[in-house]
Amino acid sequence: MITFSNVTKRFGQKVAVKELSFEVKPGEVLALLGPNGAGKSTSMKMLTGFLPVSDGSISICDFDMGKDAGLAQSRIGYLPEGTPLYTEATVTEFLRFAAAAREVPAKKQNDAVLSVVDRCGLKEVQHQLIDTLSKGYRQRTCLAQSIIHDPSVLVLDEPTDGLDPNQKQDIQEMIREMSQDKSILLSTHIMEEAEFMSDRILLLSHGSAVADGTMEELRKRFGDEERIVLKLAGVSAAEVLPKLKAVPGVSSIEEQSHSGTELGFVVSVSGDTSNISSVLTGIASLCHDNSWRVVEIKAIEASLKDIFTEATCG
Amino acid sequence: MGALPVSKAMNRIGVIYKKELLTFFYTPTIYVCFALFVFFANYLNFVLGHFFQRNEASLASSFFSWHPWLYAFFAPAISMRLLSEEYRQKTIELLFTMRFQPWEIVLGKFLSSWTVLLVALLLTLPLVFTVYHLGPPDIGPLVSGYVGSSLLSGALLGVSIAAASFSRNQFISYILGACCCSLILVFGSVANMDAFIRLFSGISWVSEWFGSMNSTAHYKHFQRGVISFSGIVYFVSTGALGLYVAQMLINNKRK
Repeated sequence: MITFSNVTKRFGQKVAVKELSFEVKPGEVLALLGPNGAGKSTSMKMLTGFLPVSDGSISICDFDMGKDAGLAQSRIGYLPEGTPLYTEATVTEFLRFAAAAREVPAKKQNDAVLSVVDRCGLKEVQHQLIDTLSKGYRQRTCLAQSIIHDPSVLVLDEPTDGLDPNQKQDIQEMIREMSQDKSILLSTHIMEEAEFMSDRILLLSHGSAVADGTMEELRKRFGDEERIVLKLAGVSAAEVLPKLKAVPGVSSIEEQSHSGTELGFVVSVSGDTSNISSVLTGIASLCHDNSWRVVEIKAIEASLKDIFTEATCG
Repeated sequence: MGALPVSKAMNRIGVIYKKELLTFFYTPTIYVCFALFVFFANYLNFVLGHFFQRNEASLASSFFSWHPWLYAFFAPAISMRLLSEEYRQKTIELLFTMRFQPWEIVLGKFLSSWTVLLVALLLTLPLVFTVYHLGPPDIGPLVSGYVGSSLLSGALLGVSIAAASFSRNQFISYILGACCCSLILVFGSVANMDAFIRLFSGISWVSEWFGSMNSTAHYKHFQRGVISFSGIVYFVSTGALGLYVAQMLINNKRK
């Protein structure tokens, strides 16, 4: 559905996007994740035909953006960053304009408007001026214009930016629902959001892709050390540490600050991620054999934040 | 069968035209512009144009002669927000990704703002009835005067839109537009400009070309009751050149 082939974008001497290649398959959600200035928005602007590429090619549903821009653009719904809207129009007027601009047949425009008003929860504000809407409703209105022509591809640039937690959840659920029949490319710098909304994550740094894969694949690649948090009560560190170190698979142990009679340890496990369960079992048996009072024992997976830091900062 | 590309382009221009027209009539500024236009048109006609003192059943000298200057200040006022608002609200990105070509955007915006100027011009029609009250006027100069005024407004609007596409700031757009329109009106109509044209008397075609760029000379034909072909070509080509520059500038801005 979406194919980026060695795409480069230069602004004068500055290279904003460098030989970027990726694919988004039908029904897949890909999140572009990266720090500010990584090239997420520039990639999206090239994908939607707003910016021309300097080198490489982009195709949407097999239509080349350079040669068949019109046909490629007709397959895309786009939610630009910052929700640009005509604030002096009402929600319905703006959506009518979007339907006409997207070449929805005149007879079907009214139905298309009613359908997106309903789908995006805009019924109660449909006759209100956009200027008077809250940020959440503006975002919904912009999302509504992007799906009014029922596109096969959705491009969403920071779709939940500036929204409160409830509004974020609404939009995230809406995007998840739409992903069933569309290819979606979204950008965000909120890592948890990328993890929740997408099937795959493409990490960008300085205009280049530094990692591409599912959350699981990224964890395997960048989260090379799994950890186990262990909290014990009524024991001394001198007694516990040598025995913990002897457990097979343990690479290092870090002693945490303790309160009262409790002692905390973070045990790092090296090697294959499947190793963590055997280490966990080993530690649990050790505690049982020594009659140590266990307050807490849990395995921690590498978070997306760790992966992000590892991938973008080296 | 799909629609022809020309018909599709016309539809897209129509979409922009409707949107802009709605925006114009939703904003109170346009009503202030109408009121000011009618006020100044009447003031210039009756006070500075000495309409009653002339004791003529004609609007040629007292009314139509001021129109170039009215448009030099009103056309930039109408056009200054056309592009700057799109950049301020970042909706230009929406338009480009909705398959609109730069020339479709510019033409749609031009047609809607020209409609606004023509409505303003129509609001001066009561003056015609005043002329009828004084005596039976010569219909020819009246009709050609309105035709010339409409064409002149279109030409200056095209130039103003080109000026507006240079800057994303409304104020700068207005000043630049008013300056460009004034330059076009002044060109060839004052002694200094005539001296400038005479500098090229050695190269006859350059001199002739500069001479033919005199907008007020073209407009005067219409004031006298002549709908001149060269005048139509001059005003249409001036407006078209302005629109061409405007679409080129907004297309270049996104690269």
